[in-house]
Amino acid sequence: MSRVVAIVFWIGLSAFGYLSMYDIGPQHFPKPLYDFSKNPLEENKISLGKNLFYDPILSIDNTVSCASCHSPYNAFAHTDHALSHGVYDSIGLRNAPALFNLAWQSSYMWDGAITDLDMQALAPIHHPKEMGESINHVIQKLQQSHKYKSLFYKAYGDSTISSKHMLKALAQFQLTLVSANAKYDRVMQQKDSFTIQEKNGYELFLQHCNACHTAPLFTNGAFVNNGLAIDTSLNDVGRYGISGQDVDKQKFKIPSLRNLGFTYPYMHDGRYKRLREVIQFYTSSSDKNINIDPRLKSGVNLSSKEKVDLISFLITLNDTSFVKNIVHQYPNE
Amino acid sequence: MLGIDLISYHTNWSILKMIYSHLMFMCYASFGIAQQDVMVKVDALHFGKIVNINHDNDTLMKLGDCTVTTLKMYITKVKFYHDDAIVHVPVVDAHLIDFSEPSSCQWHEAIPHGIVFNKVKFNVGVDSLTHTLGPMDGALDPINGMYWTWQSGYINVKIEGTSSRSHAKGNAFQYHLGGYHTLHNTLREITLPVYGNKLHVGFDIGQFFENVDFDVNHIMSPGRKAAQFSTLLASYFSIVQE
Repeated sequence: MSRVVAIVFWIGLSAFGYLSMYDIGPQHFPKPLYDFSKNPLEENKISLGKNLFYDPILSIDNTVSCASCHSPYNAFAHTDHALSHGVYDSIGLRNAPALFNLAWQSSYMWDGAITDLDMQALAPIHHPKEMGESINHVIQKLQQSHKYKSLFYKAYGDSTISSKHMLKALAQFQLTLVSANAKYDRVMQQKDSFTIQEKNGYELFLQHCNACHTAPLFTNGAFVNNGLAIDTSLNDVGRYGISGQDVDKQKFKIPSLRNLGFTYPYMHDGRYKRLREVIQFYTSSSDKNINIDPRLKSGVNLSSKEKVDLISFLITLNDTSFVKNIVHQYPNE
Repeated sequence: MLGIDLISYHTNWSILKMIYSHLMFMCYASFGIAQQDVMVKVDALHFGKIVNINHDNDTLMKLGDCTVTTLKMYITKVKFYHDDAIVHVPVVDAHLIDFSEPSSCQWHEAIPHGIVFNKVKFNVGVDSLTHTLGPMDGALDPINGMYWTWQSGYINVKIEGTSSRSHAKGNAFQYHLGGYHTLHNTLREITLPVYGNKLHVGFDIGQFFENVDFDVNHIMSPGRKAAQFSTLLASYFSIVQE
């Protein structure tokens, strides 16, 4: 009964355009952290955001778009590139993170430098090794485009292009990137079932991994030093660069494990190409930095069979319908 | 007939004027439409004296051994008080003061007639609540170059220039003061008395330079130094004596 009331209530609110499926999310997800009331999703705004996301106009030499490093086919990460690369063939410091379920994050980037999704796009636009642009110049370029004048008018009833509308539209599109239809999700919704191997792997996961990679988002959003030895060619101190607190040295945000089959290479610097290398790293106790989180210090003790079982479960987090969703792909004119 | 018409015309006109004035008075009285105009002006000072800003080239001012090429700051959440009670909160709550743009350093505040005030409080910087509101127009638009792009947060104050006391390349100094998290929050609240219908605020950059430790010649991110500099800077706000 309560569910019927909730659905009727939801339909009522949806009619006013205040709520959509993205605001609430899948039933087995917690409540989103993003405040949709300050940027209610609307079709024309999402469409504008998608056009911007796929358009290299955001970069200084019009060569790099958001999608250059966040490809829909890789769950909006960048397969095969350990470190992100940007304008003038420059190579960045970190691996481009996958983009999905962003409404359930309270901070963005590997070091959590960004606390508001609406403001996030400013970072890659301004970064000299990503898009090398400035928001002022991007707005000027957009203002000269008939296409964008029309798209902004459709979205906001105003063809005067502002950074506020641009940033909010980009956030709108990214908020629609909800991945919640992996085999794991179907099992949780009792529409499918795990194999014996996957079930064993799931139990091992709950025992050894879930504290940080907490289901159903497969991250708890915290920052942890997982013990990776520092790459002296990068000297990336992670969260410390933002907080200035010694305890945050070499801490990085715990990434979601969803879609991990599409998002290799792994870790903040993309040092591991294969999932089994990652499992090997967490099950060994050698070659770790001294500030490793105590929970990970001794390494997770898994037999070869258990490792295989765990990987078979992790593969159930791949959401093929998400990466193949044509709605998220390059906009057709 | 003509005379009577003229008289009645004049009479009608007078009555209309009277009714109109009466209505306007009623409007003023009941809705507070009548306003007092308060001019708010922000000036840079050098030991109490107003600094004449040079708008002809990049050097805005030369104070002793210091030259200033950039001086920008956010003044936000201005509130008018009568003793300890807030009596007026302006509609526009963020001003970006850019000393190279005279128009940004003064504005008029329309305060409803009858409101008596003797004190003002405002923030130097952008508060943490505003940081949660997403992209903004006007003074808080990131196109103004006062938003850090590599991390979330407004730059509250930018002071750039040269000083012989700075040992950086070209004797440069560059202070970008910001950070809204609790640990090293750089927001500073200023309280000043108000005399009459004028709020003439002075920031004594001369005294600030006198007391700055130029061994720290660059601050480009939030942290302890940004917080210390913000506290120092906030201590040099005063009402300009005219």
